[in-house]
Amino acid sequence: MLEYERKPADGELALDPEKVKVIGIGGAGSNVLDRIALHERMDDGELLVLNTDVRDLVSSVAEDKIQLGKELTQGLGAGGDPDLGKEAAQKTADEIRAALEGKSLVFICAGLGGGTGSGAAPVVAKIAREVGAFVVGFVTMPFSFEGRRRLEQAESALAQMEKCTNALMTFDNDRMGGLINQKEGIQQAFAAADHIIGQSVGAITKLVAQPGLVRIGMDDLLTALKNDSSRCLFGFGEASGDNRAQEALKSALKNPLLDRGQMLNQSSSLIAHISGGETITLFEVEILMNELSKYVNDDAHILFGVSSDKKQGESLSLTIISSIGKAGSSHINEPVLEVEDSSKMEESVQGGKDTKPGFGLNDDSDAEDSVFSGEVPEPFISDSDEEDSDEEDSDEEDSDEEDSDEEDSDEEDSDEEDSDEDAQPHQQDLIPEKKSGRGRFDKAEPTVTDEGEDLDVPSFLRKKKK
Amino acid sequence: MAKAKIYAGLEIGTSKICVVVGEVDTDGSIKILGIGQAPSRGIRKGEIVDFETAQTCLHDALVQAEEKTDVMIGNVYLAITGSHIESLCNRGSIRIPDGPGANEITEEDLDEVRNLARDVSLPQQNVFLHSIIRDYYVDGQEKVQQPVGMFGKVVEADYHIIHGIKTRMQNTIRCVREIPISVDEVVFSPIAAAQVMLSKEQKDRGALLIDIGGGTTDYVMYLGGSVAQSGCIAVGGDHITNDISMVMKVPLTRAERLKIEHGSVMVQNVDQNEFIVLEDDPHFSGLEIDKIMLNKIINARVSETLEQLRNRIMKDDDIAALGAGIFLTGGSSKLKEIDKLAEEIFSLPVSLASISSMSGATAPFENPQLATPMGLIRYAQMIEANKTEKTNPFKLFRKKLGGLFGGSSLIENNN
Repeated sequence: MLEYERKPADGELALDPEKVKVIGIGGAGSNVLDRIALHERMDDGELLVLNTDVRDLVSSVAEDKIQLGKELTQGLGAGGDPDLGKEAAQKTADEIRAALEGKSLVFICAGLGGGTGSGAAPVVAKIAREVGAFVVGFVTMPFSFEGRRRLEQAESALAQMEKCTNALMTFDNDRMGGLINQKEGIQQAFAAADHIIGQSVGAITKLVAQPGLVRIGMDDLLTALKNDSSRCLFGFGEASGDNRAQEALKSALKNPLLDRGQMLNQSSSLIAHISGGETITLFEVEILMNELSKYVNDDAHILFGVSSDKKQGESLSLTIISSIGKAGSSHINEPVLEVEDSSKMEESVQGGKDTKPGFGLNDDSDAEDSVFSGEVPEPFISDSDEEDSDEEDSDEEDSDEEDSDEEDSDEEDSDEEDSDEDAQPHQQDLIPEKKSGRGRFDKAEPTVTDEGEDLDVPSFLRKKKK
Repeated sequence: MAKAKIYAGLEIGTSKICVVVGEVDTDGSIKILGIGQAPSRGIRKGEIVDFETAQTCLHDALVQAEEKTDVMIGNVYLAITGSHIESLCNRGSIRIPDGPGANEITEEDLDEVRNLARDVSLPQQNVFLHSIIRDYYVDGQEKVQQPVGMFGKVVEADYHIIHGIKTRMQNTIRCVREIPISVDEVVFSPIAAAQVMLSKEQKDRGALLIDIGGGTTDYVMYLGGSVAQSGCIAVGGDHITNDISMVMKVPLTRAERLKIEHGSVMVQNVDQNEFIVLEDDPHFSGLEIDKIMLNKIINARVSETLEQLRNRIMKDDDIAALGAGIFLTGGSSKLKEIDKLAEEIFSLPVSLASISSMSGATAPFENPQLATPMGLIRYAQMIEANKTEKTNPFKLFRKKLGGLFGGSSLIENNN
């Protein structure tokens, strides 16, 4: 399995960092970019923010900023209207083209569903293609509670993006947050989503930009993501210390998009890229790949890459990228909300006990135990460890799983949460508040339609609102 | 089979727990011996949320049934529902090998087809509850009822598969077992209800049975004599009461009475300024309720639920194909004028279903609330009839019906 193809790794770069551009479009896009700028060691590539909303633009930390449709929106947002976003981008096309001139790799991050992201992203992608760049899109689909309208806008934008990009990674917000109805969770859910996208942008840049002992190129990336209308699987883990190979894998699999590695067996090809300091050993790589192959289908195509980077020092990181088709994924299978930001999530879940849409009359903890022992995890319960540990190799799981989660998250995203808190609210305008108003069903399992409507709230009241 | 057999059907509903004890005569006719009922607590939307309380209620109902009928209830047929239960249709297809004396379709072939049809990817935690044969196709010939013995090269079978989350179904089963009473079969509620609420002719012509209960609205649609769609929407009469209580700011018990005594789903037929006076009591200062308002609240909820149901069905089938129309049952079908509203929404004839195919004194049991447990008795009888049809009942039961009532594996795994 481990056939080394020795290439001189003398620091010559496979891709000139100046030729890489990371673009964030709209509110969500600029949040992702902020996260990349602040958290990821993103030294390859320039960051560029495009937005209609001038307030948002000002608060962004990216070095380049372009205001879309200055005359059209007078510095306001696109107000959830993709047509306006599109027009704004078209009006500013020359400026964008100038910024992208000469770039060979362009990443476009956008949250679909709103105005600017859905409208402008396809336009920008098209321009990037026109200047001859390889375009990778990172888009998020809206939470289901954002309503059908936004989902429809997102889907039509997604279809356009599929045409204009070379590779497209789709992140389903529901899979990352999964929280419906829980007010406290929203900030964190968005932050977690941004974090994962930020990681994946960073990782892919590194993947294709770094010289490798066994290099992974754009072609491999395309193979891994080739599923039509796919959902992207992404996991990133980093660790140092004696057991760093195991730890890195563990933390990569912990990624909610991978569902503890269970999603991996559905994919037909995946990229596994290991990157480490100069101390990385063949033995570690072997352990890691052997462990990983347990989660992967036997006949899956593993595109394997190794690179060493002095800057990483003692740590070793693993990036897993793959995709699966949409079919077969089910709502029930929604992963548990247990993201890198788990320390914050924890608070919200515990703090919000009263409003938590749980299993109903579970005030009586004894009764809860007896009835729900072995209950299937619902999207809103954060501690599903019992359930999962049955299915996994037991040595992977510890009872102090939660603790280690928190440690990980502390390392990874230090304490810059505030920046998100500041930047987030713009996106949330359309989220209806449904914390209470359900009467006797307050504590029962919520009944929510596919369109995100809470059926426990009196229809009479909902009708009146419309 | 010289002796009449006695079965018990149990439904753990959101508003009441109901046990029906019925006697099946040798000629297949059913006589209801008696029922035991208890208002249920600890159940929301068809599923148990408070185990011990629910068990106490269940115990009450069982004791009542035993006293009334003088029958020791040792095992029951259990109806379950819940929003997690879903259904789909899938087709399996096999090729019969060529050769001397071959091309004849055997039971084994049908088994294989069934296994293929059932080979659908369910979500990880789900298990089969039923897989019901719809139609066989032999070499493109449609709607073959019984292909065994026929010649053919390719046999296909359409199965209607009902599945749900294993652990959630097990909870209900466990509740019964701890009484202790053994569970013979687990049946999805509307499938049971349809056994008595729809006649064979209605099923053949195409019929939709909607069971609007306390916590859930269950439905099953028959086309061409077989189940085409089934499912559950976790909205029921409780929601109506809750709506009234929340909008009118009245206690739940008052809201429930308002709904039953005064409420109607139609807004048009109410005179302006018709008020209902709620008298005050120590916990509630009196109130005048505008009847139009009350009906509007009920109308909003019921029409929304029915519209949702219609949209769900329209996704896969054309609702106009229902020749026999729509039948309403369940406790909430007692709402005034609900059939008129349903007619408006579905643009099809709607009637309140009544229990057919029972002998003996049925009048006391003519209650839509009893549709499901009554249906269980008929269901039990049908299983039993199939079991004894052939010489080796056990094997045949497994073979022919094991899939039909796939719940059996669920029961085995429970302990």
